[in-house]
Amino acid sequence: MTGSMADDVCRLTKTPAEEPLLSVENLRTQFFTPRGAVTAVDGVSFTLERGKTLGVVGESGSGKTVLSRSIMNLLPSRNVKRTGSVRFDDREILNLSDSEMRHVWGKEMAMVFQDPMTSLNPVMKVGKQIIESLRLHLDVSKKEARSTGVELLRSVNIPEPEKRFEEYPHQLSGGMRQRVMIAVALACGPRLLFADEPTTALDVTVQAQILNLLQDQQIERHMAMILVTHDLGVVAGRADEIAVMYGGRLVEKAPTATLFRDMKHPYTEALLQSIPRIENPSHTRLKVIGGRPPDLVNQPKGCAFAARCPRVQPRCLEERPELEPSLAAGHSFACHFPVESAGSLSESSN
Amino acid sequence: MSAVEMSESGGPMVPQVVDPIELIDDGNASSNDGYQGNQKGFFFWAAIAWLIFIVICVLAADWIPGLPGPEERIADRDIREGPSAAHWFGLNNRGHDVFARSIHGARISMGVALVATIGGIVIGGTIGVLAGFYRRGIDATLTALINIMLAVPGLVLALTLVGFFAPSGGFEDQRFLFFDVAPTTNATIWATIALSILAAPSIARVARAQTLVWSDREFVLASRTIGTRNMRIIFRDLLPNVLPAMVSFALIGIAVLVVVQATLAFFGVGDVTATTWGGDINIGRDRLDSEPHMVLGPSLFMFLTVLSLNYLADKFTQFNSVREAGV
Amino acid sequence: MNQRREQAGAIGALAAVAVLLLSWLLGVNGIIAFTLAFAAIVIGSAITSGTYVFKRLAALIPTLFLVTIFVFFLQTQRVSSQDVAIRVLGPGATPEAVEQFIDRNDLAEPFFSRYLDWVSGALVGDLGTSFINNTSVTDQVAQALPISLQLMLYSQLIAIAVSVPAGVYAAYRANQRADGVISTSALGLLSVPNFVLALFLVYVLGPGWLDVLPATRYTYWGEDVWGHIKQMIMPSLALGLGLSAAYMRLLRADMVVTLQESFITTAKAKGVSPRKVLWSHALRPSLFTLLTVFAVNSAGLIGGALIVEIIFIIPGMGNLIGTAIVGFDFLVLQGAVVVLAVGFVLLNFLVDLLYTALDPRIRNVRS
Repeated sequence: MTGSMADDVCRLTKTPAEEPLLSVENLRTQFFTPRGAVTAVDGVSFTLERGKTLGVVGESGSGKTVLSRSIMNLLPSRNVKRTGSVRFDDREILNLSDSEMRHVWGKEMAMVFQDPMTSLNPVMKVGKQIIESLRLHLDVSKKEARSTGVELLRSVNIPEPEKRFEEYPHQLSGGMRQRVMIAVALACGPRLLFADEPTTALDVTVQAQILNLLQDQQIERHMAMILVTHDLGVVAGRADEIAVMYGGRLVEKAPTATLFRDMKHPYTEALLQSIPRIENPSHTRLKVIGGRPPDLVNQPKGCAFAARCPRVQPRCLEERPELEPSLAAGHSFACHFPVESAGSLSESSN
Repeated sequence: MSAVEMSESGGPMVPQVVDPIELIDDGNASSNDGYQGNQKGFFFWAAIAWLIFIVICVLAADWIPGLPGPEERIADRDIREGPSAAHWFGLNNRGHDVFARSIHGARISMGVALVATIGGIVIGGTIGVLAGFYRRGIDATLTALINIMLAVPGLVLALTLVGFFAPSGGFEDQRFLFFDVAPTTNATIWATIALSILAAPSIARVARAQTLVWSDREFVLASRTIGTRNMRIIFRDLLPNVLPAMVSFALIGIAVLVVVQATLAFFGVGDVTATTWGGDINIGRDRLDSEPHMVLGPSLFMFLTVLSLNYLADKFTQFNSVREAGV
Repeated sequence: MNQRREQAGAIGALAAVAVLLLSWLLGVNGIIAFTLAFAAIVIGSAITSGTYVFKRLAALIPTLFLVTIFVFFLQTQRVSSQDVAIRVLGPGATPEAVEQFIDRNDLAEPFFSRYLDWVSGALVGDLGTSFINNTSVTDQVAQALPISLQLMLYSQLIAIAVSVPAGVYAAYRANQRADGVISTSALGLLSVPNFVLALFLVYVLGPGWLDVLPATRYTYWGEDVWGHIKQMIMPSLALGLGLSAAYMRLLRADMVVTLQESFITTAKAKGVSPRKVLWSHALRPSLFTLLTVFAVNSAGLIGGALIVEIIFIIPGMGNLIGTAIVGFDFLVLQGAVVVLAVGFVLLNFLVDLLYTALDPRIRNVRS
């Protein structure tokens, strides 16, 4: 079993580069809770090329975290149903069992979690946590694993890596811990990295460093990345493509430049307006999006954003808009009454 | 722009709502389940029913129609017959009905444990609440006292107290405080006091921990700032919050004390003439090979009682944690 | 650097326990072994951090003072010297004999002078002499303690061997059928008093039914190894099974919480197998409550073993205390209780050291 899996993986690596690394089709994730079925991810489709970055943006509760965990198959096994298709390296991985996924986890796909305080084992030395997956997936001796581990710590810009290797997570600062977390994820050279709000729990001063580190590593290792965040500003300069999620669905998807030049969905616009902008006077009030994210148990019939949308019309409450391509290449959005103006950036300041 | 409003503070950019994944994880932790649900299932009501039955035995065993008395001879002592339709748990070596004795045994076995738990809550609760509320010197002193009491094995403490204060042989005056009492009653009262003292330190610990938590809450601080007297804060603000958390602990306390009481009786300390589960198990012990039913009857009663109490304590803990989580 | 010292302290403490266990296995006098172990713990921990050790030892003094003075008070206030004499000499004793007895044992002295006498003796290892059988209390305790420690060790081993796998598995399958079966059995087992369990075992395994194990007198290790094991199985089970149920419930509860932590997901996302996630990631952070209760129980167990020791006729501390209570042999009772209290405090101390070994976060807090 193990042997054939490894063979598969080896064979799969040789597939032509034109194939997208990851192709998600109509992915739907439901949780069965005492309150009823929660559809946290609802018909999401996208593809991701090798070495590219997809930014997934949405507020808390939009399903973006569940999306990344659904793709990676990291959800609790009980009371969860996933349908659709997830092809990784031209191979369907949606219906793989945990024991089959174990050859993919860490080795092919890895994840950097939101909170480095809780996502590192507090009672295990940093070094051991890094080399654990090395020893697991690659046939290396303890000594080799150790030197690779120290190298990894150095590559994520941790000073005195030999010393840190022997320390426990609580002895490191928050930023350090997230670097360690990145080193853990990068250990086996995965081809796809999920970064789930990697900077939310960190000080503002360290956030940019961590994001830059991720970007550098990604380029250096020619690794694809899915960067999940609630902050459009985080993905602005870093993602090749941006997907905006709302209520478990993709509402807008476009190459980064296109999106910022010509956003169509009112929700995307609202997200952008909630970011402080440097060119504005220092006490400018930010716009907040009023209301709450939709209840995922009882989804409204029409557009999920209708209740909070400034441009809402009767049709929005009756008919749910589908994600449809616009005129620009690679740009699609789900809205009956899209934002027309191309100058949404300048409007945001008043 | 009706739905997109201006923020007063420029505060959180995005409204914070529970992420579904957290919702799911919580669901796994406490509520979702087939067996240990929060709904009161069959076992919950069975446990309640058994305890009600035991309480009836405690209060009214003498008046249950058709039930032989504990000392009533059913047969000659030689018969020692096993379980039958007429005598469910059979007869013991003195010709007494084992089932009837198990029911009568509830009075002292359960009664002592119940009263002692209440005593333990009064003593331990007072110590714990005072330590937790006043902190500093009082806390340090009372905590030291609690630790000292916990450093002596509980059963040894209970045996010592009962053994010394209520000698089963009885060679001193038979007065309890100012009352003339029968020597047997004296022994029972001392057993109860010993068990109260035994239960007090653990209860004090829980009460102290709870008080420490609650007295830091805003409503207590609010009471202090408007100059409410300490006693009033303790009785009005703290006790109503501390007590519910102690319900499940009290149930476990009763369960433990039922066993300790039985152990004392089994050991032959205290009132050896009384009908108790532990005493009857001790009587049956010598005849275990030939008449196991003599041990089985009282053991079964005690097991079911302790099991019901433990089960209900578990349930209350669940209710409490769900209630806390809901706050 | 501090860590090194903490670890040295923990190793020292563990060595102390090893010394203690080795000593009785080799048949060294129990009190000497106990003193050796005590010294080893103190030295081991003195390396660790000075003030902390002193605080701990200082806490021991009021405990011992109160315990001893309480037992002393009990015997003087409740049982008069006349009663003691009559109990020892028998009801038919002449008044002269009683008088002589009281004189010989200084029973007529005032309370505090008798107490001070005892304390000054206890400090140099002389816990007094029993009135009943005229033997040294120190010797009696020295004989009984190793036997109780054996019983404690065996039953704790059984409890851990049963509870850890069961608790880990129940937590892994939380709220599923396997968990239901394990948790329900644990609740049931927890509700059986250990003397009832002991009688049940005697009936089933003893001559009454299967007749595979003896329910007879204690056999010394050196005398007959196989006989010793056979004899100790039932008492150890009677104590250990109930404990295992309690431990299992604690471990399961903590482990269920640990398994919800995000570092468990991290481990899973690395491709670590469920077995390894459970044993090398989740178990260690889940052990704290269990460890505390383990320590509290270890001392309590010696007292709790009382009934079991009596049922199985094992001449340990429980039996010693029980006989002393029934026979009003208060000096023996006092000596035994003091030794147990010292053991309890030392065990708690040991657990603190083990905490630091288990949870690196605590090390920083303390230093």
